[in-house]
Amino acid sequence: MKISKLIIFLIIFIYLIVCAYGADGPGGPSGNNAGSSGSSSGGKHIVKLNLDDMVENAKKWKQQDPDKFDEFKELLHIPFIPPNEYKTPTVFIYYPENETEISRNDKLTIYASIANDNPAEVRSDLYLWLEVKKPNSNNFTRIDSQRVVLTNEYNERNASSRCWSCTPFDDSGEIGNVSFRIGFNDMHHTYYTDTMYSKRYPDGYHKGNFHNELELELINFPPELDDGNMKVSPSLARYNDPIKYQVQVVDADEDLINVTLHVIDDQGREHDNATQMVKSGTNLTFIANEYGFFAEDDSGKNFSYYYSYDDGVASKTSTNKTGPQLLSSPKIWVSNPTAVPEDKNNYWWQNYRFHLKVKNPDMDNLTIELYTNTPNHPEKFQKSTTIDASEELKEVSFDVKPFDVSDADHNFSYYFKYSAPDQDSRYYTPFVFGGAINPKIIKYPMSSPIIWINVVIPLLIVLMAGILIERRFYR
Amino acid sequence: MIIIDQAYSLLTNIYSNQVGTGLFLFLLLMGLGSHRLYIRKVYEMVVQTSNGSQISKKGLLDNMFKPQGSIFSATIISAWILVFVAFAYYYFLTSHFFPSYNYFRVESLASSPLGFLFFGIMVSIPSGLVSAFLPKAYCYYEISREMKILMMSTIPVLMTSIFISAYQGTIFPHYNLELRTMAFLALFASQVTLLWPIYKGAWEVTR
Repeated sequence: MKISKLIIFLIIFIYLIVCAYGADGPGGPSGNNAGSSGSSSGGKHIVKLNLDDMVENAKKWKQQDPDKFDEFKELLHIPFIPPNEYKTPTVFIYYPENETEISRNDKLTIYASIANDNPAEVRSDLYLWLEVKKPNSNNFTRIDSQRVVLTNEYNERNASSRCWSCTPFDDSGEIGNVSFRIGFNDMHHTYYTDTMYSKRYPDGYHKGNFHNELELELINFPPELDDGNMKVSPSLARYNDPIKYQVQVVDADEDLINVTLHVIDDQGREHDNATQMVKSGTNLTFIANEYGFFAEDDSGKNFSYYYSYDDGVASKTSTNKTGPQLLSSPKIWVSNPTAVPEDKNNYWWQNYRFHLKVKNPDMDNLTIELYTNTPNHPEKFQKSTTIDASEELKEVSFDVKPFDVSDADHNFSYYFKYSAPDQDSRYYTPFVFGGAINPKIIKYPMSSPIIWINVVIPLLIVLMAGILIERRFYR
Repeated sequence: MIIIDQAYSLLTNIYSNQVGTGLFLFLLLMGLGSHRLYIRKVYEMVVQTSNGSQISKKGLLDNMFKPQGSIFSATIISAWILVFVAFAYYYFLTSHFFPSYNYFRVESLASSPLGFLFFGIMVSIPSGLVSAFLPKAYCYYEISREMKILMMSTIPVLMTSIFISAYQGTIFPHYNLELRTMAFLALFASQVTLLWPIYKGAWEVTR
């Protein structure tokens, strides 16, 4: 009997132990139990929470069941009831400047003027911050850091002040009306100066330099670029030369100016562009080969350019200017253009031999043309020839009769044109002065039979005419 | 020597463009005026000595008309044509005298192989039209044989003037002053010689 009682007791004891391990304790964490410690007492499992667990759980509750969380919050909230004699501090904006127009780079100094008539033992610390409503915005945003006025930081007239010195619009892309207000918290409530006095001052409070809401106008002067100062040098250059584009831009507001150089090709298309951010008054330089504007393929082309520039608010564009003209890459070398007349008299009817030394290592079918120039026959084509590539220096000659009688008594010059760029990246030589053409007009001397024929025949005709007229009219 | 230089300077002034052409025209007009004066004076004299009988001018001219010979007439026609041709060669071939009006302005034509021939023919045609009837005037004058020979000898003189002017054209823009003076004198002397019987006739009837 004793044995059966003992067995029954053991069974009940084991059952109670199993039941105690299978139960959850009240208020236990729903997720992570790490860091918690538990103990059993009287058959209940008790979970102890530390502060970290509590915070973690609160975050989860807020996400998982916001309504329940709000209810939980209200349960925890213990409203502060200030003493009956407590008065809300008076805070206004003090803006010492009279000018209501500001630019984006202006450094603004704005004060909070505070009056706290509460006795020292009732006062509480005051936390203040400055807020601004930017152009085309409906919301105030906090700028700069919070200021604190401790209970003992008031003067004998129970007044104090705090200052913000800042440039709140230096990154603003818009202009227009802006508003400032001060928000503050006296450890009891949060107030905003633009709304807290609306009953007392429905139209706002503006006395002298004191405001409940400070309204200013943010303005902008657009940047200016003098088109006459735009220059590109050298205007005639090779593609890899350090071609400089120079210009000066100024901004009355001292805003940073975003300047973009647009390089335009000879088809009017944008070939390349580059941007620099500069201060007002900076002599701005874009060096073409640093930006890689031009490649060898661009040789021989004419480019133009213009600038677009803005200060973040206003955008402007300069006029289009020509330049640079890129020289072609040399393919041939020419030298020593000469003209030798048939004899030293330089008569118009003579033959002249024109020479040009050419080294043409690359180009087959290089065409070379001769042109002469006189007042009556400007840039007259004379003759052309074609030569093939050769490593040797060749002398190209033209034996021509370049002038007519109208060129007599005038100076002449000449030049050569060729179908490939020379060492100066030109397709022609400069004009070479050839000398004066002899003024003599008649090329036949008096001793020439042709002159005798010219003179004698009319004389014979006259004599014959005398005989014929006499026979016809005098007999 | 100074006198010679001054005379030469005066001469070069005379044959300069305006004076020379003015003198040429003056001599021609004076010849025309002398001829008219001669005819008028002869007619008046005949009327005075006719004892009141009616004498027509045409009848008088018909009676006065006396052919001077075919060789003389042909030669004088040629001589007068040559006077005008020599005048044109002298003044209007090169640009020395009239820079704006001269044959060398048409330089391509002037410098062509037959440029001078063309100029000579172009001048000869109007000269021939003018000269064709000039010798008729000589038929109203008494011209001695010596004078006729002298007048006919103007042809080689005028040809010389033309050759000299042509030579000046071939060396243009240079020129030979002595030859140029010679050409002018040849032209001037020939013109005076050809007009001399007319001047003389007028002088005699008005004396």
